[in-house]
Amino acid sequence: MKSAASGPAARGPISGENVTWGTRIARHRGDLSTLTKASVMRVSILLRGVIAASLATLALGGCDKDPNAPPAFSLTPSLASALIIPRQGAIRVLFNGPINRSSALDPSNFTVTNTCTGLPVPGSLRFSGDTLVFSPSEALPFLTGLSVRIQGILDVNNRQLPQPVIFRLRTENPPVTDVSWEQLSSPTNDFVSGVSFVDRNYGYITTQGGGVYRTDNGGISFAAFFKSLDVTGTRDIRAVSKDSLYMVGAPSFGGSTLSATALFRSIDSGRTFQVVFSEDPANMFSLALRERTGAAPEMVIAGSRGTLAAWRYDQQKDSIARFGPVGIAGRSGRMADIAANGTNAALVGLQALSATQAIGVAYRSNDGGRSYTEVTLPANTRILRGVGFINNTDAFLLGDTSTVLRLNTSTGAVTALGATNGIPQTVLDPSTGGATYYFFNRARFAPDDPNIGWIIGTAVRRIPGQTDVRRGVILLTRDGGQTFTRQAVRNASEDGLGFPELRDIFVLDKNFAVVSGDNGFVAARKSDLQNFATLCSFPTQ
Amino acid sequence: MKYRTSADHARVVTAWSLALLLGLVLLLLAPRSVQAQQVVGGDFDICDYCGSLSANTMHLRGRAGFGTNLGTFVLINAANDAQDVDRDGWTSGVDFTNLYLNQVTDFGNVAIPSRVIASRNFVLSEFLNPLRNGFQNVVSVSVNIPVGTPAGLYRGQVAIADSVNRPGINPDGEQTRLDVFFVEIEVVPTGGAELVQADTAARLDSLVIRGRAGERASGVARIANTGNTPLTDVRVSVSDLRSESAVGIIIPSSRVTISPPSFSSLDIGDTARVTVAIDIPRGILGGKYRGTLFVQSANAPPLQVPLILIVTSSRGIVFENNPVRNTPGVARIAFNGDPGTEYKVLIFDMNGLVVYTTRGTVFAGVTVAGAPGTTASPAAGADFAVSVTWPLENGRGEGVASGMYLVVAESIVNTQRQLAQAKLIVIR
Repeated sequence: MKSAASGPAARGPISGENVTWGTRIARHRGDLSTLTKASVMRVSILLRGVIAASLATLALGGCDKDPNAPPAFSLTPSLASALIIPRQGAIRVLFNGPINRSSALDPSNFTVTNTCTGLPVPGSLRFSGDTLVFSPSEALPFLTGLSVRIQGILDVNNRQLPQPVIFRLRTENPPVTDVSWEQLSSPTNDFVSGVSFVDRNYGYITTQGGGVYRTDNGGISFAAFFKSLDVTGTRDIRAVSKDSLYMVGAPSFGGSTLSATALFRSIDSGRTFQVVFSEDPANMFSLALRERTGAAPEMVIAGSRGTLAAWRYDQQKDSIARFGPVGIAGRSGRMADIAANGTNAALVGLQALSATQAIGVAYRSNDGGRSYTEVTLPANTRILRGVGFINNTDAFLLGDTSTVLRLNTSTGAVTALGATNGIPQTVLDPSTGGATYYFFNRARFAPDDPNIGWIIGTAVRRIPGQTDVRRGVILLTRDGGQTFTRQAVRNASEDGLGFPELRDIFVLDKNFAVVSGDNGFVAARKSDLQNFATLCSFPTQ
Repeated sequence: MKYRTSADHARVVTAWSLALLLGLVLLLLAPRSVQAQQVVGGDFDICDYCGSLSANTMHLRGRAGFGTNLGTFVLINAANDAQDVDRDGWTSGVDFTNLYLNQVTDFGNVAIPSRVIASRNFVLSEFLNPLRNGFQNVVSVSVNIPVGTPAGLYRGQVAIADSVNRPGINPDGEQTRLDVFFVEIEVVPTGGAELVQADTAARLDSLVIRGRAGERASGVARIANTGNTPLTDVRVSVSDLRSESAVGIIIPSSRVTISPPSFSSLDIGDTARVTVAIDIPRGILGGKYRGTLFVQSANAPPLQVPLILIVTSSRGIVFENNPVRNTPGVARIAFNGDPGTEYKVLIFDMNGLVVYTTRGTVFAGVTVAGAPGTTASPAAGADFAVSVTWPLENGRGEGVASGMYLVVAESIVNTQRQLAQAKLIVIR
C-alpha cells in the first residue's frame, strides 16, 4: 500500500529497529498491523485531503491566534541550590507550579554532565516537597564544572516544557586555591633548617646535619659545598653576598663533645666556615641578620646558656653583646629578630612549668638587641617558637596551637590574631577523636612591600593510636598582617597542602620567596601573581 | 681394657686410627678463627647488618617516577681489634678524609638483565664525611626510579674508597681501604592505562563517530599501557547512547560492537587498537548521541571517556508511541530542526480539521555566560531535534476521539525547510 503522504515520514515511524525512547522500545509497525487493510486504505484516502488542508494551513502559519493552540506551558524551573555546591552536594531545582512528577524523575529529563570530562554525573533523583533533588552518587573533584539540563518535563496537564533549561554550577573550591608555590629540586632528604638567597638565582640551604648546598640557577639544582665532622645542628643560614654567609650551629672542638654553640662565617661561598664566636655549653637556635648600607651586617641570635640567652653580633665592630642567661630555671630562647631600622628587636622562647607543661615568654628590645625587657603576654600563652618583624616597630610572635600575637616593641602592647584574621584554628574531629593543630614558627615580610608577608609553620593531624601526620602551612598576607590566606604548593598531594613541615622562609622581595623544611623540602614563589586554581584544575579526586 | 687376641688388638688399633684421621679431617675443614690484624695504611669497613644492610645487601623499595625509601650504611674506621668488623685489618691513628664513591654499577633487573636503572640515579643523601679513626659514619642513600621503569627486582653494587689513602691488600690477600655493598631495589608494580588517539599518542578526550541512519559507523581508539607492569584482563564496554537533544531517544549499547571487547594482557608500553562500531538505527533522528566508553582492567584504575555519535541524516517524524493509548495519554512527536529556528506542528483529524497546533523554537543552547545561542551561533547544549508533546486534547482542552490523526511538522533542517508528516493512531 502506498500512503498518500510522501517523504520519509510517510514510511512510518521507526520500525523493526532497536531504538529506544526513554525506556520503551517503539514498535510502530507491529501496532499498525493490528489495523485492517481496509481501514488503513480508507484513512489513506482521507488523508490526501487532510494533507492538502494541512499544507494550506501551514502556509498561513503567520496567523495571530490559533484557536487550536494549547495554553502555553507556564512552569519554569529555577535553581534552589547555590551555584557552587559541595563536592557531593545536592542540586535542587524548584518549579513555580505543580508538575508531572514521573516525568521529572525520568533520568533522561534531568541530566547532569561533568563539563571537565564530558561524562554524565551518576546520581539519583528524588522529590523533597516541591523541590526536585539530584544527589551525586560519589564526591566530585574540587572545581568541577557541572551542566544541569532539564527537558521534557510535563505539567499536571501533560504540557511539556517547551525548551530545555540549562544551569551551570561548579563544585566548591579546594581548601586552598592559591597554588603559587613550586617545589625546587632538593639535593637531600635531611631537614632543611635554613634557606637564604642573594638574588633570584644564587642561594644557599643548610641542613640540620651540617650540610651546606648552593644553587646558582634559582633552585633548579643544588651542589654540595660544605660538610664537616666538626659542625652539626646548623640552622638559619644567612647570605650577605655570594661570598659571605653566616649560620649558627654546634661545633665539635676536638671531636669529643657537641655541647658548644657558635656563629659560623664563610667568606668563600660556603666552601669553608670559620667560627666567629662560640659559647660552651650553650645553644643557638636562630639567626636574624640585618644588612646595612656601607657597613658590615649586624645580627641577633636566640638560644640558651643554661637559661634563656640572646646575642647580638656587629660584624662592623666585631663586637658581641650577650643578653642573659636570665637565670630563670626552665626558660629557654627560641628565636630573635631585629627590625629593619636596627633599633627594635624581639625575642621569644618558652618557660617550662613542669615536665609536661610550658608557656611562652617574650622580650623586646629598643637598643638593637643589646638588652631586652620582658613582655607581659596574655595568660597561658602557648610556647612561642618564632618572631618576625612586620615593620620597624611591630613584630609577630608565633607559637603553638595557632598562636599569633602582634607585639608593638615600642609600647609592649600585644594583640592576638585569630580565626577572623585568617589564622587556622584547631579542628576537632568527633568521628575519630582526633584533631588538627597548627604551630607557627616564622614570619617574614617583603622588603619592597611591607603589606606582603608570610607566616609559616606546621599542621599536625593527630588521631589517637595513629602516627601524627605533619604538614607544612603557608599563610600569606597582603594587608600588612591584618588578614591571612592559606597557600598551597603546586602538584603537592592533598590538593596542594601535602608538603612537609616548614622551618625557614626567606623573602628576597614580593616576587621571590623561598621556604624550606623537612624531607629536604625547598619551594619557591617566583612571582607575586596569585596563581589560583581554576575550573578543572583537579581532574581526579 | 685388656686385649684378648691379636686380632682384637688389630681391630682396636684400626678404630683408633680412623678416629684420629676423622678428627684431623674435621680440624682441617673447620673454619679457622680469623685473626684481626694491624695493616699498613689502615682500613675502613662497611658494616654488615648495620644500618639498612642485611648481610652486605641493602633492600630498597619504590615506585617508578619516585625515589626509593632511604637506606643507610655504616662506615667504620677501626682503631682496635674489637672495632674491625670485617676482621681484615685496622690501624690506630689513620683517618680517612677523602672518601668517595669508587663505583656504582647500573642496577640490573634480576629476571630480565636488559632492563636497568642507570647508576646515575643513585643518590647519596649525605656527604661521605671524614671518617675519623675509631669512629663510625652513618650514610643515607636512595635511588631515583625513572618514570616507566618496569616493576621487578634490580640489583647493583656500590663501592667506597679513599682517593688519597688508596686501596691495598692485607697479608691475607684481602682488599683493604675499599669496601662494597649490594643494593637491591624492588620497583613496585603500578598499573596505568590511557586512551589515546588512533594515529597519535595524544590523549583521547572523547571518541567521536559519524554516520547516517541505517549505516554501520565506526571509530578507533587505542588503549595504552602507561604503567610499569603488564595490564591484564582488559575489558572494553560502552553505555547506551542518549540523544543530546531534548527528545529522549536512546541507542542501546546492544547496537554497539567492540572489537576486540577484551584481551588478556597488554605489555608495558604497548598499545592495543579497539574498534567501536555502531549500527545506527534506520529512521533515527539526526543529531548527537552521547554515551560512555569504559575500559577496565585487573590492575589499573578504570578509564572512561565520552562516546559521541553524530547522525548526519535527518528523518521526518518519530513517535515515542504509536498508537497512543490512554496511558500515558500523551503523544511525543520528535523531528529534526536546526538550533534556533522556528518549527510548527499541526495535527489533523480524519475530517481534515486541525485539532491541535503548537509552535516553538528549537533550543539553541546557552553560553557559559548564560546568553542564549542563536541560529548562526549555537551555544553549548543546542538541540538538533525537537520533541513536542500532544496531550490528546484539542485546542479547547477537550479529549480527542479514537482514530487516526495526521501529524504535520514544519521545521528547518540543514538550513532547508522540511515538511514532514506521519500518521498517529489514538486508541482510547
